[in-house]
Amino acid sequence: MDEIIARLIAFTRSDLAVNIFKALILVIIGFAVSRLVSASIMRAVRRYLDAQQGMLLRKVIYYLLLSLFVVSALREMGFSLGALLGAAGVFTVAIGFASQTSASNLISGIFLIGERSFQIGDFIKVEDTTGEVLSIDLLSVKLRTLDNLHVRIPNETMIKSEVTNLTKFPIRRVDLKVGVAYKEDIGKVRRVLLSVADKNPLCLEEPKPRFYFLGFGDSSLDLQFSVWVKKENFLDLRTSMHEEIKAAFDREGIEIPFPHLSIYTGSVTEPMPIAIINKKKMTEMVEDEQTLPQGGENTL
Amino acid sequence: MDYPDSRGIAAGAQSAISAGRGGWWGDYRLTLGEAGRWRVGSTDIIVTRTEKEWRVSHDETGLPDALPDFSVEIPYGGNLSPVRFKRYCFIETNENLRLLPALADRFVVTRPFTPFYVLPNQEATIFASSPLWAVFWSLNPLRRMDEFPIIRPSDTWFGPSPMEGEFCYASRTNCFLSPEDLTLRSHRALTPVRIINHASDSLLLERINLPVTNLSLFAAPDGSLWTEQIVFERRSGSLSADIRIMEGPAAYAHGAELVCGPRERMEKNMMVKALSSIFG
Repeated sequence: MDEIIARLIAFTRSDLAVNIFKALILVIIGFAVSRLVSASIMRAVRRYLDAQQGMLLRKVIYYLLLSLFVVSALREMGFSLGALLGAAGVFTVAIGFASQTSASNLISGIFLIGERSFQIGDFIKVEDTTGEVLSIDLLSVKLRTLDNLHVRIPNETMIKSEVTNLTKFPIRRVDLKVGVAYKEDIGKVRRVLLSVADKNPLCLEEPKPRFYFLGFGDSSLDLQFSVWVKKENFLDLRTSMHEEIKAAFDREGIEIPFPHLSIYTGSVTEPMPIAIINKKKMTEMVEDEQTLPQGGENTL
Repeated sequence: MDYPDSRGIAAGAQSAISAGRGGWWGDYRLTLGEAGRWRVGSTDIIVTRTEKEWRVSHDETGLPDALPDFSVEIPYGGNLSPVRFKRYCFIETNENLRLLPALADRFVVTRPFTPFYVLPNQEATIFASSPLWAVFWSLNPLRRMDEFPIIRPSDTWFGPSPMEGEFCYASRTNCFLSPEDLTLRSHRALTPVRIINHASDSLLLERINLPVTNLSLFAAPDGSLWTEQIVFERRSGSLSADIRIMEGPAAYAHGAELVCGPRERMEKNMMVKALSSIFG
């Protein structure tokens, strides 16, 4: 035990220990100075940059300064910078082979930041995920979905996928699909829909609402009513318009048909026989049918 | 445009305003536990005073907008509307309450019902109306409590494309050329708009972007509410127009008094704007 203590005391008095201590101090100072300088520069140039550019500039300054302090600390500990850089080159090649995906993400991240197709705070849709952009980092983009989940999407995926920015422009169009019965007067339906849009204060008066006749559907006349809204009110308007259209159609006696099937036996055949029966008779018939042998006569 | 004690929307709140001077606004007194109801247009505004709070509710009744289109009932024995019900707390409430009208908090784009042309080297003065807000103040100390549109106007977008432009409120106008044709509504303010066309081609007014946030509100003795007159002057061979806001209440509002200053002051009394940014 005494020997170990003696060796420790001797080590602390050696040049190596002093150098390690100096290196440690340099690294600690490096952390503090990098953070302070990057934050100060950020404050000075904040008004000229958006959130994403600011974050990138801050990280570049921070890591550049920190790496200078780390290199100085390594020199203090007696490492030769030339040998270190040589080793770093070999190390980089090895790492490069081992981490192709990360390198790809890194390069994709630089392209994403340069392209600026979305920014922090925007709502974007990537494949099946929709959420608010929390950060655009060198390896991945972080999203917060509407149900408050944190989603990390690798930058390589972002570059390869179709990304829709839902909040790039101040206004959006809401496309409402409406089906009405074949018997309805399309002109009346159009007037009722325009009146609903006119009465909803969230619905923008301009650009004007548009009415499209999409075609003759299986069970209904298929229509599309498109209205414009402030991007913040998109969900509110979509909900309120659906409610108000239903109420207006009910009030005006316009039928919204549910999918139905017409059975037609052809023009050369006789019409299908239909018997109107009461509930009691129906029950008796069902009981009779259950007692019939397989392949018996169909009653309906 | 410097009016005495004019400080933005608070301008009218600085000096005492007598209630019932042809309109629904002014200073009112509500004793402890008392309620008041103001019916303006088709909207009911109900205010109740308790020891430590003011309760304000407003709701559109959907009743027809008959004339006269306002009434004040103090004390009011009914209940607060559960819709849009807000509470404003104080250490101790004071019995004095001020209710003021104010212009909209965004520009108002008004569209003529029918196409309206100002022919070359001609001019016209039309009367456009815009929606009003109700602003509640507590007196002693003077604190603004609530502000809301009396009848919520529709939003609209004014700009060359869906990517570029600004949010405004939408309105419609008959482009009446004579003030005698106007129906005075207590929830709308009137702005005389003089349009002078010096160009060699006709000027079609598809829509007019009224800078109401830069306008003041004046109350005439008959209860009508007016702003300053706006002049749009289109120069010959130019795609721009000069905009001037004339000083003081419009000449049609005889004996009008300031009730509310502009929300934003214009840097200059006259501006030059592209025609597309005024008439769409």
